[in-house]
Amino acid sequence: MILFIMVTTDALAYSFGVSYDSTGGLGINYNSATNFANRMKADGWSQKFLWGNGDAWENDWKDATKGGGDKTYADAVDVAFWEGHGSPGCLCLFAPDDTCVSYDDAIWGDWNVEWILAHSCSVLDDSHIADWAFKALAKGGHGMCSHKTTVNACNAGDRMAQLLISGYTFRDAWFTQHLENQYSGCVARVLCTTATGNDKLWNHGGMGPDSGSGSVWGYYQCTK
Amino acid sequence: MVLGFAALLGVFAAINQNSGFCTDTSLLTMELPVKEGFGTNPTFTLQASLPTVPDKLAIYSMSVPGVTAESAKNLATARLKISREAISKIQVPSTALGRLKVQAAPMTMTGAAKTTAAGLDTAKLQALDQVVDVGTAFSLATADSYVSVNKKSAAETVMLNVPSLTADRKAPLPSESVLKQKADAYAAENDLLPPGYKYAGTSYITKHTLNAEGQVEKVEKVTAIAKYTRDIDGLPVEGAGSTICVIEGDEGNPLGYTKVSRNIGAKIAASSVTAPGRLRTMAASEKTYELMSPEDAYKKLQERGMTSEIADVETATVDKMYLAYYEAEPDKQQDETEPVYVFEGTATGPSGSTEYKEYMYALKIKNAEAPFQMPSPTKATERKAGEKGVEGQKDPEARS
Repeated sequence: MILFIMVTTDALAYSFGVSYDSTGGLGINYNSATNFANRMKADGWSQKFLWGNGDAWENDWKDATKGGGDKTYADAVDVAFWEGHGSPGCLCLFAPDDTCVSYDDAIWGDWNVEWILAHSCSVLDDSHIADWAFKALAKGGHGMCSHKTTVNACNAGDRMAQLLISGYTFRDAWFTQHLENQYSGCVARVLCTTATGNDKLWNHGGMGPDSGSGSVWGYYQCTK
Repeated sequence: MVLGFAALLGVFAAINQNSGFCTDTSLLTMELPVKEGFGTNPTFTLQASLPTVPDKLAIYSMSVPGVTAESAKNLATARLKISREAISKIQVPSTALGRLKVQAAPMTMTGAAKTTAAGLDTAKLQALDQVVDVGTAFSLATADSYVSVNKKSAAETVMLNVPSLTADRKAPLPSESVLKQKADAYAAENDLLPPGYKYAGTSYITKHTLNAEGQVEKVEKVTAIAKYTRDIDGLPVEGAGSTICVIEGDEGNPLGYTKVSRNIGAKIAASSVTAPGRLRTMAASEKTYELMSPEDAYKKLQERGMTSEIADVETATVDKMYLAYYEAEPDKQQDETEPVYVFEGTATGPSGSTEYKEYMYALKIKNAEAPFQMPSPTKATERKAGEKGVEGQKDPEARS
């Protein structure tokens, strides 16, 4: 008996998505988002979404079980990048449904996504970093890169993509661009499990297993 | 003589006739990363003394050396300690500048390097032949090292052993004095520090393990970052630039560095809270811009709010306020540096508190523009019809 298994190109392709906020007069976030996207596409990744400003909906990042559309967007890709405002416990996007993607809205990784990049202020502050791990990421997510303190807007996406494509881990790429781009005293953080801390892009070294009930979470912190 | 008089009239026309301050903004090209936020007009409480403003603060030109594939290759040769004789016949491939190029054979960092009979790292030698123009920089990666030079700022990133950057350490890192000693030696050996740079302390990459209750149960120092910074006329230089970070791992041994340091050139203008006066202005060749007083700067902060990527803050303390110069991140063109005000403190909102650092132009003329109009974040924009998303494939490894 010969068993044929159909594998679609979607199942094989590496994909990413980007949402950004470049309102308020600073186009650098647009550059950060689009440069990230262009480099990833040039490296063979498929772009699932690139939504900016009023099109960057909170609903795209909210779990489907909570009425959100993440199975179509943020959780439908391998790497999801938010370039915009944040606060402790919140990615600040645009309605619908509201303007805050919190750890109570998100369950990332139960569908597809491995890594969340949030170039935003203070999302991984002490007050809620454990909530992001155990509520938002613990059912399959690999990790999240963001900051403890405020952060200056810059073309982080461009540099992050360069370093990832050169073979850096998510953690080391995040911290290297942080040392290059941010002010002294600025604190970046990478939340991950003991099995995913050395994750790289799928086509540049690959990743560890999805998180689950037995995963040990922690975070790395880089103070410039 | 007629031409000279016309020129003098032109100079005078560019100078505010009432105050003597210059209003020509063509020189003032420096940009701060300020961005209007939403929900970022907290009630500020000043808990610091207002800074004392010197009589005059200069505005300086900035420049960078030309960056080419060849200069990047030379840097890599020097930093990765590859014999010049061995690479003398390696040709640098010509690539169109600014065109994004994907490496045909991605060089991922996977493990130990092979060596030639002469003991030279063959992977590193081969990598020099593949200096890649990635648009914003020239870079190369070997099995374990990485070098890049940014075109706009000549900023350098050199990593001798990337896999070791945040690896678990065999033993605790040495004391700060040993870390400083090794960093100083590495910086001197590689001629990293332009004149005026001084050691500014060591920060760390740390590893924090969470228990099942979400509490931090263990903290380890993994990597040290010895920092070197410079002053300009006694004022610190803020921003990503004017900072050289020597990165150290096991036993404090250097793993590499990042360097963002543009050349500071001649004085091109001055700034002051005191008007130079008409007579003095007409006789002087120096342009003088008006500096905001600290009182006005704090008032402006209260009107403007915060301009980083923070959102939803209700109150904020100002624990420090001071004057500084500013140098931008690598991928920014910067031709001059001028004074800025810096505010530091803690901002608090419904979801917690955050330490912040805010920048503000100290030159009044740079603050003249009205705040940007922010769109309402509750007002969605209709996405184009036909761009309805298709549900993605579930990851076969995902656990439900």
